[in-house]
Amino acid sequence: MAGVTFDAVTKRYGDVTAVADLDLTIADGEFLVLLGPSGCGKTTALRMIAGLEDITDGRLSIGDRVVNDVDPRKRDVAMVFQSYALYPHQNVAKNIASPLTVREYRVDGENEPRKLTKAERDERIDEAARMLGLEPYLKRKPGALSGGQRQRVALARAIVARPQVFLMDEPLSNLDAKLRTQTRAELVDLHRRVGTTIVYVTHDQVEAMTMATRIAVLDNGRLQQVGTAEEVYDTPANLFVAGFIGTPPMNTFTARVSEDGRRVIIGRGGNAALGGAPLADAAPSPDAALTAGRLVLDDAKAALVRPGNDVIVGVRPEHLHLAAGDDEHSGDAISGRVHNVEWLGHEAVIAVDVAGSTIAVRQRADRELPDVGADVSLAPAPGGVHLFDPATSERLG
Amino acid sequence: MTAPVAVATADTALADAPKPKRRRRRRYHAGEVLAAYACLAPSAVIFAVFMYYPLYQLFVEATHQSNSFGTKSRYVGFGNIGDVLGGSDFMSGLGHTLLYVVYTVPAGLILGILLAVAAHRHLRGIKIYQTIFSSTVATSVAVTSVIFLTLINPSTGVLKIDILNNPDWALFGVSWSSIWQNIGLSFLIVLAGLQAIPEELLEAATLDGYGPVRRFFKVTLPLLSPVLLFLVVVLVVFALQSYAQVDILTQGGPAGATETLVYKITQNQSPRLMSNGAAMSIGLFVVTVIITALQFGLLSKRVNYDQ
Amino acid sequence: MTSDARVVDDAPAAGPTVALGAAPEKRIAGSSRLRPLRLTGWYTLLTVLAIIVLFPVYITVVRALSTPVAYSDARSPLYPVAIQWDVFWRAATSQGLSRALLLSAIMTIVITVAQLVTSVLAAYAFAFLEFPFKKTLFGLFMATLMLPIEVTLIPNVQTISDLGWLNSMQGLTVPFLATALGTFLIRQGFVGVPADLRDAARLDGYGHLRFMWHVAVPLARPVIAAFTVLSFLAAWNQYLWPQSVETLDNWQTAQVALSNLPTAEPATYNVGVAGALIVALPVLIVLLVFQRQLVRGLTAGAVKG
Repeated sequence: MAGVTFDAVTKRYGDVTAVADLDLTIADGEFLVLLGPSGCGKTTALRMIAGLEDITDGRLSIGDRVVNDVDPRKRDVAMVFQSYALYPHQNVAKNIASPLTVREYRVDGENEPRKLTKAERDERIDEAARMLGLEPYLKRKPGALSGGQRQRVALARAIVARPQVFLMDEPLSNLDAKLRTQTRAELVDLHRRVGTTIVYVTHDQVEAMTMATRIAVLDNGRLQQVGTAEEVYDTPANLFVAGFIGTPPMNTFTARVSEDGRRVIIGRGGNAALGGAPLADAAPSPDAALTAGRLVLDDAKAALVRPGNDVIVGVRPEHLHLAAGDDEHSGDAISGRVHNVEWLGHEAVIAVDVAGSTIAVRQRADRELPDVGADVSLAPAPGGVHLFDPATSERLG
Repeated sequence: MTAPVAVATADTALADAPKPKRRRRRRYHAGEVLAAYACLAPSAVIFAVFMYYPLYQLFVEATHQSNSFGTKSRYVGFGNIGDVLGGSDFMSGLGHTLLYVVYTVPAGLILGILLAVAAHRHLRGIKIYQTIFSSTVATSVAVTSVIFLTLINPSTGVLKIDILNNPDWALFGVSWSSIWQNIGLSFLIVLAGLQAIPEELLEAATLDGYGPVRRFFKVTLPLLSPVLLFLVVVLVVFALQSYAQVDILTQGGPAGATETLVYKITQNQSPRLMSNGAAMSIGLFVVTVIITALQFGLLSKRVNYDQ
Repeated sequence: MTSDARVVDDAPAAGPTVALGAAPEKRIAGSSRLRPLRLTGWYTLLTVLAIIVLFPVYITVVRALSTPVAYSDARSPLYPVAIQWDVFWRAATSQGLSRALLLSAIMTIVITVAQLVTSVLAAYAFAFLEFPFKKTLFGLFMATLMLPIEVTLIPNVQTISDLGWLNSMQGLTVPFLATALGTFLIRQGFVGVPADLRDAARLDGYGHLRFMWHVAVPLARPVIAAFTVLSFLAAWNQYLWPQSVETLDNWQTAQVALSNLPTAEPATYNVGVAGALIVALPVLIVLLVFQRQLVRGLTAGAVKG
């Protein structure tokens, strides 16, 4: 078991940079998820660990060993491919056995790695088959298995190698929703039992949030943020992470800090993610023509900005609530009109038109739901306001 | 005749239903049936006149002996077919042809695999090499024979090997032209097979510890096997039908040492020899069917089809 | 550096591990850093193989360009001797060859077009229509693949002769106006047309011809194009049958005309060889131009089937 360290690792294909200057330390025994949209470089990074892509710049280490030039066969990693990559012409047992026939392994109590004996191989195969419930299928060929079963065979094949690091490339993407949920739990359980470092690639933030010890968010080849699920959710490092994690995504607005420095005035056409324009005039008037409303900043946040600054404000849907008319901060609210109400049983998602764009508000289903077309005021929960620098997209504070 | 796609009602179908129906519950729409037969007719006529009728005729001719002018023929019985097929003429033709198969097919297979594996990689300009390797499909047998005439013709050839005059090795010399010509087709077929193998499979094999040689024999080759079977069948058929190369390079010589079955058939077209020719044609037919069936039977088992 | 190479560097003559050569994929595994030694090694091997493959053609060109007597006097070297640059022109304009090329051209066009039409029609019936004996008829069609001209030669020559069609275009073309291979390939293409499309066309009131022409054929175009190329090739390259029905010296198609070469006058040998190269040209051009369509058409058929 070992950790993985990316030290300023870069991968270029001709003019295209797939991974740019990646610094990431994956601790031994972690379940680290590489999360991001297609083309963000997460799969490339994973394949670099495996040795299936070579490294243009920087150093990659597994454990203490720098592995830039080490043959993939000798890196002591195992990979579960997105397509499972099972040998179609061999049965399940042979598929599971395939890492064990040629490679050499360090056996307990011995100094030098060696080829395994048949008994040792069989033992490992049985163990993996048992762990994943594959005993009834050992003689079948992959073509005769369902998607979920094939995936487990791919997992078993990785397990028998007892690698230092497990690499998984979107292993759940080919499964149907129900199976996916089930397998997620099984993978987490597997990790708990086996304890090996897992590096897991996905574009699905739900998978990331539910499975990872830490999440590394990538976009366009660059690491945006690495942290626990709470960290990336509660304190996203930039607009990209803020918008990528969380469903429905965080609502963002262009805004300007008020004259007294304690409020932000939300501009029209507000949703910053959609390219809303900053305010022309920052007068703190509730002039509906110019502004969508105001939000109060708590002390900590207020300390980060100066009056007149342009900022981008982010508030998660669950941190907005419909303010009643007599709320103490009723003057400091965002006004909008209800566009749609989706009742989901345990909660409701209300789409509100605010200053030209639609934002989402989540509220518990037992609270009264507004009518479509109603005018509403939205106020944030304390601490639910995030500020971002419009120039750099980075988090303020 | 344009028959509209018949969403026929039950009435029409019943009224016009063609009579000899095996007890199937399927209802045929008259318009559709007519359209179908109309579509098939042109091909069917050609097949009937120029393929099935000749088959029948072969048996007729093989069992009748004609005089030199073709004016009279008498029935000599099916035994004649047996006699001809057992005779030295047919046997030597068969022998030469089978030898031709042995010369050309394994070589074609190996060369195709070799070239396809070499050219199946991502290098700049690889497409040029791929085009060169596949170029021999553009040649006809006649053109290829002329090309090899310039190479190995005893009197004017560049390669100073007098192979075409050597009774024992002339056929081998002729086969070089076929081997060369088959390169393009073999290459293309094997390359297509290689390209159909998912890259991830080979990556998985690498991570499993397999080196390049092992990867080839344990992953690539098994997954290529359906394609290779197809290639073998095609190459064998080409060899069984060899004619033009013999006609141009050696004219059957020296002393009949390169006379393949088809060549012998063309030698037996005159009225007096026609019964021999017909019998040999039947022989060729039977041999082809048997060999093709054998290939599918024997080799199919060794082919891995992934379902 | 003695450390083990990365996987892509390991790929020798066995075990392709890099992306498809046909279309560069996003994952170009490490190609940017193949070590120069390995790279030159591959290029060397490939070039050697290419030279071996092209060698016979090269020699043929050498012989075409060289004056025959001078060439054999020089003991048949690997380079041209006493070059006659006009040899191709002379070959192309010689009466014999130009007539032969014309005959071949007409024959090829007739056969190609005819096979296209008959195959599309037959394939349509098998793919879209229901009729009695469908399975049997299909079997009979496919069985004709076991009856090539090599087997049916003698009776067919007889038939053509009896019809008075020796040395005629009819004699050359009629037996080949249809082929089961075409039926098979194009049927595969038609079978890939989604059933929904057929239903929609039906609701729109399309008749067979309309559906065939406006829907089925365009959708199966890759396979149809591929088959057309194959058909063209086969027709142009034919030897046995044309030779069998051509009995007059001035009635020869191009491939058959090549058989005159071994017995031709040594002094004009190079013209004959040049003629052979000219005969090979049309097919070469067609293949080069339609390379991509051919591959696409054939592989599409395979995948759908």
